[in-house]
Amino acid sequence: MNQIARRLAGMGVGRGDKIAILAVNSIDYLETFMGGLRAGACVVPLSTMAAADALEKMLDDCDAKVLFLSEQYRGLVEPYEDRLGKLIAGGRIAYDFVRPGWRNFEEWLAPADDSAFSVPIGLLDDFNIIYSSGTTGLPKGILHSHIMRDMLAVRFTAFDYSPDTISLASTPLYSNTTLVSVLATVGVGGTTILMTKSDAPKFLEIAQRERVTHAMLVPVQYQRILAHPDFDTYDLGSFKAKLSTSAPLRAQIKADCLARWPGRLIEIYGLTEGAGSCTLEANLNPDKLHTVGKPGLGSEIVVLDEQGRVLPQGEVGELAGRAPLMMKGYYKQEDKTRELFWYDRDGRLFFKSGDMGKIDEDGFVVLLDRKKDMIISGGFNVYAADIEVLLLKHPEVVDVAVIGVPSEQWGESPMALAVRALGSKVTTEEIRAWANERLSKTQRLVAVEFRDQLPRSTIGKIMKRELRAPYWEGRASKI
Amino acid sequence: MGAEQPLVPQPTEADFPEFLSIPVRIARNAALFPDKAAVSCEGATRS
Repeated sequence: MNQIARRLAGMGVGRGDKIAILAVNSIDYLETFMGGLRAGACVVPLSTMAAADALEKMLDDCDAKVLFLSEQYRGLVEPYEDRLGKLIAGGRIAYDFVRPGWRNFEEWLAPADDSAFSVPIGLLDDFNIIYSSGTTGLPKGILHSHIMRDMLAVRFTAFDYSPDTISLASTPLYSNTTLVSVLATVGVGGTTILMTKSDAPKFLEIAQRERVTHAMLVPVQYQRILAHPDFDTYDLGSFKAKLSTSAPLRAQIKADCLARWPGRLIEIYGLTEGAGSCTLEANLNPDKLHTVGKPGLGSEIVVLDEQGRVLPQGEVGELAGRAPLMMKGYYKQEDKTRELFWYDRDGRLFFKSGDMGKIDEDGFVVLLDRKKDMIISGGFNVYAADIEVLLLKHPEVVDVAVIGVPSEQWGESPMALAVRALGSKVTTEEIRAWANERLSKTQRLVAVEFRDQLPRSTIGKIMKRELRAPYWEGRASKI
Repeated sequence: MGAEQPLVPQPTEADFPEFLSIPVRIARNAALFPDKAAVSCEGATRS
């Protein structure tokens, strides 16, 4: 880490300069990240799921002076590598491949000694930029400060992070989901075990063998790990806390987890941008598994109507939150940052989340849809999440996404894309009839189609935009 | 966006007097636990 910091400083990279990383999880990746911070740089971990043209925009937008790249993702850079004019001379570092114009990581590192190296770091200095997963236009770079990251890491001690922590990271390091847990671990002097990709049996083997205490997982990982046929044969008694984030964890998976997987189960709902977050201590609230918990970590949450007025408890609207932990802004996009803003009567700043939900009578937050995923049918708001919860109660449906498709009569109507249980012979019409008997008139499904699997991002979010696209092709709006 | 005037208000030292920064915490932990594995991946380990 000191060597990396020293080499970067030797190249003129210092406080506030940006370095980018596009690589598979590895020790070198994590050390580059931390070494960059030690040199005073702001680190930009780039999504390996992004398309080459989007990555070109990100690399230009973030003003990176140095790019660290692994072989696996060369193809995402080579189409435009001659146009990376903001990289400084010698600023192309290859972790594990040889190519003219690129310096080998080990050779680049070799001249530097490992004695302590540091530069002063201020509270408000830039820590990292994480690009949002938007698929159109210029991606938004979420800029976090050092104080925000340090404060968040310290607050994670509430989830039993300590020097004895052994944390298993099985999602990519470019994801905020991964980083919050990794930073909490390194911040307290625990041990981080990195997996290069998510793999249920490997996760279970490592967790048992290394006596893992913590893991931050996304819902689809819980689903796959718990479904592993040998799950119950593994000794997972070392777990102190398992955390879930990035998408709502279904109540039935939480219940299964509570019954079969030792340790606390904590669901965290929040934005990478920061502001309000909620935490659900599932073990302590078994009757609230359909919620994402209560505002936590110093957060406040309100529910807003279309006009930006605060709605009473129980009514559905857009969630907005505030907390001490908020991003500095979208990098170089002040207008986009301001689009998130909402102020209460006391002039306090909240971020609008784009998520629809409500607060129940006990103060727990129930999450419904992304605002943009809400289906408006005949003037009524229909929440796909409500229909998905019902469909998952069908014994032969193992995964499902509900989307809005065009309707001449209603504007749009809900449609289900379902994955059947292995060997199931149930038909689309049988599922549709079963669901429509139980749904309200406005929620009724216009159609059901089967899929072998649903497209998900690397952190497990169903890519609804991709699912909707064929049905809206040639139309001006809606997706 | 400069470090001096962020568009979104950030916590102050008064809000979080324990501020050290992650790199400083890592250096401190390395001194406290010199023999401990800090990170491992695919069988390789570094302290």
